[in-house]
Amino acid sequence: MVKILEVKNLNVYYKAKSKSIFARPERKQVLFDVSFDVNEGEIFGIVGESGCGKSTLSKTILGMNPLYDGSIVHNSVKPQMIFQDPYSSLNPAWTIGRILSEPLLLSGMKDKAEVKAAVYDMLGRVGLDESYYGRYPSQLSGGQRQRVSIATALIARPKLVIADEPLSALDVTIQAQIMELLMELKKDLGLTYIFISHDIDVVYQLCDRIMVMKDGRVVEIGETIELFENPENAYTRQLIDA
Amino acid sequence: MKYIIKKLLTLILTLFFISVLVFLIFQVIPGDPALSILGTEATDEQVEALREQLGLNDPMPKRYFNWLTGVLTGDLGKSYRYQESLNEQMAVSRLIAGKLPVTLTLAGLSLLLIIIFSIPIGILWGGTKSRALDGVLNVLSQFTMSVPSFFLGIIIIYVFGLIMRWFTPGGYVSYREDFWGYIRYMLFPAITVAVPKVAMTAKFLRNSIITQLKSDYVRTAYSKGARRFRVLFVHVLKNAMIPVVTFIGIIAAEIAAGSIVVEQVFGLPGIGRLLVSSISTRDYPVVQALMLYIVSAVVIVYFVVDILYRYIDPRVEEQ
Repeated sequence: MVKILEVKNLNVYYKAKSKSIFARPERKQVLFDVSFDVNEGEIFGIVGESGCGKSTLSKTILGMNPLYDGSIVHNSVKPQMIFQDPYSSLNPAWTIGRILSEPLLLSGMKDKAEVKAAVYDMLGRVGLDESYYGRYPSQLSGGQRQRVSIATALIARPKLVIADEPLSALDVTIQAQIMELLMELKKDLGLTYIFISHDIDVVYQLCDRIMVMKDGRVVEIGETIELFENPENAYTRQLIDA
Repeated sequence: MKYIIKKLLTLILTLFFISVLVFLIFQVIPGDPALSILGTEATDEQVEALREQLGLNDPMPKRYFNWLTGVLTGDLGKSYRYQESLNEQMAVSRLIAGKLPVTLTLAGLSLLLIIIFSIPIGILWGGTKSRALDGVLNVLSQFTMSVPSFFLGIIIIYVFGLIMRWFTPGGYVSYREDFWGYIRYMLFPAITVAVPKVAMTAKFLRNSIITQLKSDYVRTAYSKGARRFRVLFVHVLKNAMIPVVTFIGIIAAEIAAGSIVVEQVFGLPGIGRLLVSSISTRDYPVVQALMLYIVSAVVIVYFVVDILYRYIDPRVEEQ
């Protein structure tokens, strides 16, 4: 199996607010010795209570958090991310077209016609027609916005996508549609997902392997079925039973 | 377009109510205009004749209508106090027309200075990660906001007028005589008006930027691979400017209404000074006209801000 992401002995810190402007800023450790691999083509679930370090981990993998030691190796294009809240994660002053064009422009694509064609193509893939190009996020429903978020993440053609609770802000009926869309895109574009959630049922349905986290540490990693039937750790059992 | 027409109708309606209010207030104020013009030595017959001539004996709606027609055609009545020649009172419209350019220049120059300085300072302040710079700007803004404008005016006159000799204090030059000399003189009162407002606007923009930088779409932008500079200028700035436009609008309305204190300190013949002297001499036609101007200026500036708002904030459309 080809590994698309290898994380070894990762420790992540945050700058703690120092008490005075003269004091040296202190560091607060939030992730402790995290190691795991993600195989190409799988759906790798990360579960844990809120505050356990799931989101910090995904931000660090994306390079948005500079304070860490250990190694993160991804063997593909820069991974992208789908965020939880589709209402606030899109720039309200930008049209959908501009939001979707940005990753392409940042990756160095210059030809305007080419960018536009790619944006239309991506809109089609997430089930939105071309009329959405000139609209603003405020004119869209939650489900449509999450489709835009997914399109934004996928437009630069990453191989690895981190989805941070992509369903939890949506209605149940729309959750099913978005889940279906994510599976379809995975097949069409050959994607690998890291799926972050606190919802154990969603993770059970979707993921091939699961990593359980607690207080910034890895509790257990295993195949989904094995983990559910035979949890080694007391915390994992507690999480499944809840 | 529909939006603009709707706003325009609201504006006209507002102006109408303002005119009614301004008219009524001066009906209620005690004192007989005819008597004020003629003086205490006039006979009852003379007063009655003038009352008839001025239309003061007409019913109130008719008087309002006559007054409004006058306002719309530029006839604001005659001043009680200012005389054109020995036996003719000066028209209020002429009186104000002579003073208004000074106030408007002061307002325009101040607004220009506020925009030129507050926006870069606000961006620097909101965008910086340096706590030292944040602290310095905080102290500086607190200080400039709290200095009263008459005192700041005196300091500016002392430093730039008396020590540096960049302008002659009290040596106001009319724009009709020497335009650049006029601008040069006006620059210093404009600085006095602008300094505290620059501090306020910059602080407002800074807070707005910091709020925006914490929002989720900024995190999305970083995850797309945008760097801090791009996030600040391309993503955040437009969203952060939306409330600042309103804030600058409020300031613009305030300074268009005339800065009484600053005009007084620098000896500018603007409407602020005219207002003070007209109130103290009970020159009601002038006070009434100035009141109408000030309230209308505020309402019109807000109207312009509303229209501008629509162009920078796409969300206004659907509300």
